[in-house]
Amino acid sequence: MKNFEGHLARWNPYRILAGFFVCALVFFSMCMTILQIEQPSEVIAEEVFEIVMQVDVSNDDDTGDPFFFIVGFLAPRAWNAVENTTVRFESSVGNSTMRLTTNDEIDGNTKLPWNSAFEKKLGIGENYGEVEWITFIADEAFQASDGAIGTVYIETKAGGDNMIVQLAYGITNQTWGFSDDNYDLVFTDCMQVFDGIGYPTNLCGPKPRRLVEQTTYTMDDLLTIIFDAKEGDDFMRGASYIDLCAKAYSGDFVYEICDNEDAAALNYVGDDIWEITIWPRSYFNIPEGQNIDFMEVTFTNDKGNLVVANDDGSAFIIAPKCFD
Amino acid sequence: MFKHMIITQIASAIKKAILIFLMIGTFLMCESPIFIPEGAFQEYPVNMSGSWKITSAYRNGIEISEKFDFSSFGLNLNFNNIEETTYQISTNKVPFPVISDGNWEYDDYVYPTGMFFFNSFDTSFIEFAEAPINGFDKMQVKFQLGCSDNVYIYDLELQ
Repeated sequence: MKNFEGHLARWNPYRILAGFFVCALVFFSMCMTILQIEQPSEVIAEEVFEIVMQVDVSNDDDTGDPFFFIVGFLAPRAWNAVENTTVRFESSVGNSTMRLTTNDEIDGNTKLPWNSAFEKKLGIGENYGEVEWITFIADEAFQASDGAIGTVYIETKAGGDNMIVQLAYGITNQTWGFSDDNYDLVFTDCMQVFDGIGYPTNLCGPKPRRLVEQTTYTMDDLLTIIFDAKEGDDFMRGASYIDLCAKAYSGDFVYEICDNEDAAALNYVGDDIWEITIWPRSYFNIPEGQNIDFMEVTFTNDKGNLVVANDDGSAFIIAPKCFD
Repeated sequence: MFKHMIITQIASAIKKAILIFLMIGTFLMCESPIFIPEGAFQEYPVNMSGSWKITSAYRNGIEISEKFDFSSFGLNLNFNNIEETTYQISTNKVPFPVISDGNWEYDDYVYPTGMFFFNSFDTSFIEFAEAPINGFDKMQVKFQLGCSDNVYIYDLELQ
């Protein structure tokens, strides 16, 4: 994986030189290299922003056949980038708009639709999940018998939720696909979305402990909170009683239930797994018209002297996760 | 010749008889009105007034009746003669799109697919998972609370 330092990836002569030598060794293929990427390191939630990518194409097979340029963009699922992204390029051999690839358009190498091919071949970087590759194909094919340089413009819109995410960019072409050096990939440094909704989800961090049974939810859903005593610090294995200690953050207000009430007792479901189903609004007695931003939870024993939390002692965060 | 005259007379008599019967029939048709009871074409809404309790609950198709105490929930729907009017709700911590009292009405007066609940905070629509029928003491409602991926269904029974 090649990682560009900083949000502005400068021209790297070594990278270009290395690319040239590799390309010179590869016959019957097309060498594609990402030279530079300009991408903001932080954006405001819901902000529309542009990513500019410089690319180099050297055609070594001498066929001179026209080819369709393909661009992949790795973005959080929460951004709904399929709906909110446009891509075009300008190059020394011609300019073109780009459209989303269809499921019928596949990479000849992996035999998968392009978005799945990008994920299989290139992965999702440091993100623990919740990101997706979306792929675009040029509306027009171009010949590059003598190679070409170009600039790709990606315009997209950040989602409304606060988060930290690693974006990525890939280029290839419909003719050769993911074979030899016919593609290139860059993961940029993790970027931040701020001034949005909720506690920031750090997709670049370790995969968080699974705390809620449902895959997607908001604080208005009926939540089944799960405690797996086998996970992480497992000193609560074999416990006979587990309690939920929880705080709900609602604007400037904080509501807390953490005093070993019966209502906070988890139910044992077997295999050292416990659960409690709550409707946060009624559980914390939140007045109608007021919303919960996120919750903090820890798990305690009946005496309250044993507490399962993050390694640094901080509470686990349950923040809305919904891709509506 | 004589035989032929008799046949002609018989045919003529039959024709006259048919004509008379037709006249009598037409006369009777005009004179006997079809009885249509008053209000037969007037449509009434399904009367769902009464006090409703939850008997089972599902989240995304999976029964969750055992995971949460739904028994204390109560919804009282009021009708004024034939019109929906007010409702009283005591959710008692049970999730529902509305949690305070207000007014309610069907989305369609005669063939409802759901109910609107209005209160001072919000307007919520709750869909019928199965069309309600007059005289039934059960209804099944479907709604979302937060993320649209999560669909809740409650079976309710008239107390």
